[in-house]
Amino acid sequence: MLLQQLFNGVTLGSLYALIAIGYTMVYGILRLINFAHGDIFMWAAYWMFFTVLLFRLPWWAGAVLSVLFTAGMGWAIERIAYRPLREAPRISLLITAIGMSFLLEHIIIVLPWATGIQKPYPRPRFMTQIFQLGGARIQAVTVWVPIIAGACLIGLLFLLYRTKVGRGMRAIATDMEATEMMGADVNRIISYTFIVGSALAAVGGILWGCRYPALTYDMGVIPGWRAFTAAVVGGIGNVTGAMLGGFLLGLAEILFVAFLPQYSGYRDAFIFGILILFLLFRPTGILGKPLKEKV
Amino acid sequence: MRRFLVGLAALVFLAGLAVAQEPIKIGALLEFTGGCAAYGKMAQRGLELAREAGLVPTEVLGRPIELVYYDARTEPVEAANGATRLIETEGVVAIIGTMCSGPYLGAAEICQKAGVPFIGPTTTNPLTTQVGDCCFRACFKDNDQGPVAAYLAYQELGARRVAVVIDVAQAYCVGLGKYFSQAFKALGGQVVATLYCRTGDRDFTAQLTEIARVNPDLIYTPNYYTEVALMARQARDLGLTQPILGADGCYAPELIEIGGEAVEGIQFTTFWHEEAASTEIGKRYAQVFREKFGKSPDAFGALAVDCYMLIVDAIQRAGEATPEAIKEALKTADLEVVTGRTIMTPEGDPLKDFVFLKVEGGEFVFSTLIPAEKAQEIKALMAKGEE
Amino acid sequence: MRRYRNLVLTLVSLGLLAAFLGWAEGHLNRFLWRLLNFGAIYAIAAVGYNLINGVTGQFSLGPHGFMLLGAYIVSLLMLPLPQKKVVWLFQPLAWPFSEFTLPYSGFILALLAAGLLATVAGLVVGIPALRALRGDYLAIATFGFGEIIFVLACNLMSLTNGPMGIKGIPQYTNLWWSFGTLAVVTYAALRIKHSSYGRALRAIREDELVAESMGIDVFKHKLLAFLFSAFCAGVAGGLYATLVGTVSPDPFRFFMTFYLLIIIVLGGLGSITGSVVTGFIFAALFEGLRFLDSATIPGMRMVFFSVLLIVVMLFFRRGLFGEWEFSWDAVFQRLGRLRR
Repeated sequence: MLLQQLFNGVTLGSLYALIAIGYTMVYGILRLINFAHGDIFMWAAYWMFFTVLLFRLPWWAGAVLSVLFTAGMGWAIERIAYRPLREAPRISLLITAIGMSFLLEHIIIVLPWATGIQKPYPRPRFMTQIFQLGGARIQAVTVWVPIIAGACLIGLLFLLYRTKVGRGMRAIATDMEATEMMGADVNRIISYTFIVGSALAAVGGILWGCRYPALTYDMGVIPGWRAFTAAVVGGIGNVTGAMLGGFLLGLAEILFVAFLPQYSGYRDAFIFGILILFLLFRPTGILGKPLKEKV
Repeated sequence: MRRFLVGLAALVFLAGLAVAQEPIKIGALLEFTGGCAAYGKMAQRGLELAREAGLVPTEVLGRPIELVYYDARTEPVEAANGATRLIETEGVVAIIGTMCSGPYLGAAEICQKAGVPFIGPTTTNPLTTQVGDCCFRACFKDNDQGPVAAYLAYQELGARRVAVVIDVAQAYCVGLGKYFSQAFKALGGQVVATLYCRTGDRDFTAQLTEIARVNPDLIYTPNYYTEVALMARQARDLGLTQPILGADGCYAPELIEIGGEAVEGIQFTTFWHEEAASTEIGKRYAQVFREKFGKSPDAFGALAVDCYMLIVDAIQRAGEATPEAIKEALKTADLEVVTGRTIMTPEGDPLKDFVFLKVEGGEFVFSTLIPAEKAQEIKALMAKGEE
Repeated sequence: MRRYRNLVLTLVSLGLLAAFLGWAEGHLNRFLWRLLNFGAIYAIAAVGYNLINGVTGQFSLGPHGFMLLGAYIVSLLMLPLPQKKVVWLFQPLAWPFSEFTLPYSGFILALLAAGLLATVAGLVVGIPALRALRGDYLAIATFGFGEIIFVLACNLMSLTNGPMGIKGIPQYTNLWWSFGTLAVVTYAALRIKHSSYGRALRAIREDELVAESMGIDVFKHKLLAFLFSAFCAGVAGGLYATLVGTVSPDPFRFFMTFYLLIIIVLGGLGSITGSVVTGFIFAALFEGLRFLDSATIPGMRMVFFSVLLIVVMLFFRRGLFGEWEFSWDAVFQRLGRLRR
């Protein structure tokens, strides 16, 4: 059984990691905690429902479209709601993000094809096959998720360290004003950041649905917060840290529930407790660099 | 002179029309969002169908009946607000709803204080009708549903060791779980594990790990369809093959949509099925439903229609459409409604039969029926056991 | 002379308000009566919330947690004993609550207890958080606190009866209690804002480092504002419980803070008057827009509010009142200008 739990933990961790990367990238460059990010993740899963179950497209097509649509939504949200507030006090941005999060959730409730009722999720055969590994029975998805997440991470690191756009992202994260003065198109780079972050969250959402095939409008809330905690734990602003934090948190959650099942109701409190402890005592996380305060 | 009389008659007629046209408003406080959203929608569907198809009267005492819908959001506070609004602003004379016991309890005090009869189609928690004499239900109670399920598990399915998984977020689930466990033990069985989850939980690894360890004969989950479906899926994935027994919360198409093959063979208690239709109106309702929607009618719409019929019947017998009169008339209701003959008691609880359904071939099929009297027998047995 | 005039005007207005409340208590349509009570309750929480968020500029996202605490302690203190036996389905109610209940005369004590409990919780959260965290991180920490409170409320069955909640709470709240509390709280907030404390709080909002170097004990001031907001939220929660008659963790999830955010942003971050007025506007809108839910699709109301918040943040960040506070002097100035 322990092996089973470890597998579950790794899968869950990878899912959190995928979402956490989006949080950390946006925070790195904008110093904004994008409250709406968890809901982006939820929307990707719903896009799968719309494309595959309503429009009856093949699963592959649905997945590709979902990623595209979700990335597009991320881009749109930045343009409409966050960019105009770039010069405003940070609190305004945060409040807007909260409003956007609620809006995304309630649009789902209002859509007649979705509504407030739980919806099923299309799972392809290759994800649901079960096989034995050691003493554990696991679903194929348990193995696919870490692999895909790993591939995404490698792709992302390549983007960040080997391309001009990636360099731009890192530059903005270090100092936005200086980057702007150097002539970089800051707006475009920020847009790319949101697109990439949302696309990764979309992959997370699609895979999440394979593992937990019930869709609700608030399914993004808790995973969103877990992922944010992961980002903080790993070091906010640091992509590898987000990945690491995701894995650690996923494992911690599963093991907590496995060894202390009578306290499983306190799972969320446990996670938030970790978050608060890190915020208080190690805000830069495990891999992060200390942020200097200019006087 | 004649013209004057004609004019007077016309005036009186018009005045009469004006008064007669004033509709009688009945509130429909249903859940359209939240954990019980599926039931609210089914209830609305049933009500609209019955009225459209002329199965139930759309006017009584010469006045048209108007249904006013409000979303209770599966939240007691929203239900309370909705009830206040319906009573104060809309001026309803009676309220149908809510589908789930939690929201019902939130609104019940308000209705009781205002003296407006409040009848729940599927509110099975025993506490609901205890709030006052304005509170009624159209269905059976959980302290009967639990023992009947225990009886089925013990006698018909031959289970001796059972694991119970309860959703602690719902008074309905907690109550049912308790009643089932008590009855099962009184019958001679053993509850080897009582585990908990919460509405909205997606991961049941903790609970299922424990179940795998104690290896029961059967799993009883009186929870709502999403949680049951997800848990069943994960149970089957983990290789657990025990039969699963549920309660009326399972009865929604989403159970099969979300659960897939994992929910094949699940049995659960519910209020009605077309194969168990024992009344004329029940059979006609099933027929009209099939014609319009192409599938078997659900119990939630049927029971909502029952509530509607009971209220209209009460208005007719009382001769007036005031909340007080309707309430008194409801207490003595004895009517053949969609789900069977309903005889109301002054406490607000009718005696109803228990239908068991099973998931087979991706559909809900009729399994068996246990009559209302049996539940009383089992309870007597339990009482004796305690002596 | 001016002060005398202002005092008379204030007393006369209060007298008129009292007369209106007296009439409304007995004669107003129950639905509107409920609405006024809700408005006052939101306003109470909003006034406190505006002090920490708007005036001091410290972004707290936790008032829903404080409201929950207030609601539960009042319920536990005032629930009639027969209810206490029936409601706790799962585990019996813990000692000492199972043994006693306060009568109506104890209501003021219960409300004070609510405020006190919330304030204590505010200390537990505020001391570490306000000392070490700024901006977004403070927001997250306070949000986390709210969530932890929610989880505790769901799991400590012997105290809270878990997610099933408590029903049968005596409905003691009426317009006197809610408006009375609102008046007290608003007065306190205005006094704070117009005092040297208030000036210090605003200085902290403008530039914390400068304020510190000017000798202001930044941490102490932040904490005081935070505790005040906690107290207000706790009392608001208590009044909420005795208005609705049932309490459960559900209404005190994050969307309650979202509502308060809408109220203080719409009213003007930093305007106590604004929060009072918008508290009522919000309650009215919330109920009034119910037709959106029934006429169109359920959930439209929240879409409207989300869009409203975003639009206000994008285009009308100062809200309705900006930082303006009501005062008789300001009214007369305005009138004077009109006359010319």
